[in-house]
Amino acid sequence: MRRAAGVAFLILAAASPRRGDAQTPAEFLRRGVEAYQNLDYDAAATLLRGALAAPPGGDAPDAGRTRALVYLAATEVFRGNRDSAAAAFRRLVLLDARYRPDQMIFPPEVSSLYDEVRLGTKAVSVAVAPRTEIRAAGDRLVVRLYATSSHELAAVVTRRNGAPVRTLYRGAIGDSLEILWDGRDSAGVMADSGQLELRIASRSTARPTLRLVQVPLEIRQVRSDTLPLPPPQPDSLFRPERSTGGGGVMALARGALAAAAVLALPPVVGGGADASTARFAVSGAIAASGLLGFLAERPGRPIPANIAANRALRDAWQRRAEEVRAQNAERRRDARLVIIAGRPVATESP
Amino acid sequence: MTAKAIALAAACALAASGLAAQVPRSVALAGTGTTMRLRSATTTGSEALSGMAFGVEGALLLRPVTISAGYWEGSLKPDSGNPTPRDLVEGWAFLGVRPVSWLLVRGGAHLRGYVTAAGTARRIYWETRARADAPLVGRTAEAYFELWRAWSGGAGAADRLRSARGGEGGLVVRRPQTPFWARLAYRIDRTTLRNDARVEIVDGVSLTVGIGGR
Repeated sequence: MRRAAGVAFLILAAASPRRGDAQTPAEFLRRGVEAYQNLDYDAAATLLRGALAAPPGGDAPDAGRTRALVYLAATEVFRGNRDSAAAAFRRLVLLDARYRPDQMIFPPEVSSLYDEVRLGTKAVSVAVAPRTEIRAAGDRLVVRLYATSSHELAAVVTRRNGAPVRTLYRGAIGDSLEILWDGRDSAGVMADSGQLELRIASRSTARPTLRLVQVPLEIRQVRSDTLPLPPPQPDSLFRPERSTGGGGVMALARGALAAAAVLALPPVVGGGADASTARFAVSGAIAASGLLGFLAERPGRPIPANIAANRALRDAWQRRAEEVRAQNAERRRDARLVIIAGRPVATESP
Repeated sequence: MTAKAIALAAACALAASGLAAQVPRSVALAGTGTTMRLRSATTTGSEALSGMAFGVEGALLLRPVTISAGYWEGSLKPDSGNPTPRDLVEGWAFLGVRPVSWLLVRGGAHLRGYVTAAGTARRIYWETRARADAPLVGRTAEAYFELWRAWSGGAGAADRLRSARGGEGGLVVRRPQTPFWARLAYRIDRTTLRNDARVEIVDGVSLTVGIGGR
């Protein structure tokens, strides 16, 4: 009678054009649990299967699916359907390897069946942060694996086509395991931006892959912008490095003028008096200095002071450019890796 | 008197190396040795004397203002005939200004004394001078030329000063990277006394070695 009522409820729910609270997986679950507690196992099984009918990640949250599965398995135990109970527990173990039935709610026969199924199932649950940033040398992507039971597994980062990028772990897992990835491939090169996958394969000696969990990884390599080199120095900043000769001619002219002026002093100032002949030595020294000045400033002569000043300018530019290059090299080395982890997806090997 | 001047100049030269590190660049000190020729002509005749003089000079450069002073003394002996030998004492103090870098205009007092056994004949000139500097080899060698004229003065009751003018040209050589410098110069001046009854022309070549003042 009660089974008929549960079936009728499901039929009415499915036939309804609008989906209100009464048709949600949560409502199925609530009524299923009520039926279980009222020992109406047939109705409970029907209602709990209704709660599990929604696809994972849909309206039924994982916590609700977990609860529905454990009540369904317990219901099947009390209905005498051990295989169906084991199947429900197996789904539960695969959904959450860390799950343990509450001993206060479920009797030992339910818990012992769960443990039996759990120990016979070789699978892992994967927990990974949705966003990981690898900036410094010690930063890692942290992946925590929780095993249903002890078994062998391999964790490999691959491309979407399955080509391996880096093997992170190959060996046994007991209760749980933490594996780390530094964002680099097997050659030590930082992964490029793109789509990768973390593939965790549970294995046995008989079968290389019992179950595969795939975690999509979106890799974003973030580099700081490099700085431009300092602009080239305009020619107007540089001094002429060779004499044009203008200064030399001026020196020669000034020397000649001053020498002539000294010679002209006695007639101009002294009124043509008998003057010291030593003035010729002074006049000659001035003229010779003017000639020396002309030679020192002759056209085409290198100007050491200007050459040194220009070299200092070029060296200063070179130093600035080297600083920029060093900063850019540092910025290139300072690339960050952002890893966006998607929802793990488990697939059973056929 | 000449011996004292030589000793003073020598002392200055000896002290120069020690002073070089202490003298600020706005101060110049120098010792000078100069040949002196005196040609004096009067209505009754002429006389010619020559000799050497030594002295010191200094300057304080408070750009663009310059304060300079100097002193030298020496002995003049007759070149021919028998004019009276005499000692020459000369000193000056000027206040100058540089309106542009190559021009120095200065004015001040210039005193000259001829000391004989009979007494001292003094000349006092209140002068204005204009000096132009011209670089020849960078800042290492510079030529300069200076003209001056006395706008007032005195020569005692017997030798009243009528006019005086002079000029000087030379070469200043500086030792690079050091405060030392040397100057070779020719100077001449003409003094007219007692309504052209007496004309004195003094000229000579001087060699000066100094520090500072750049």
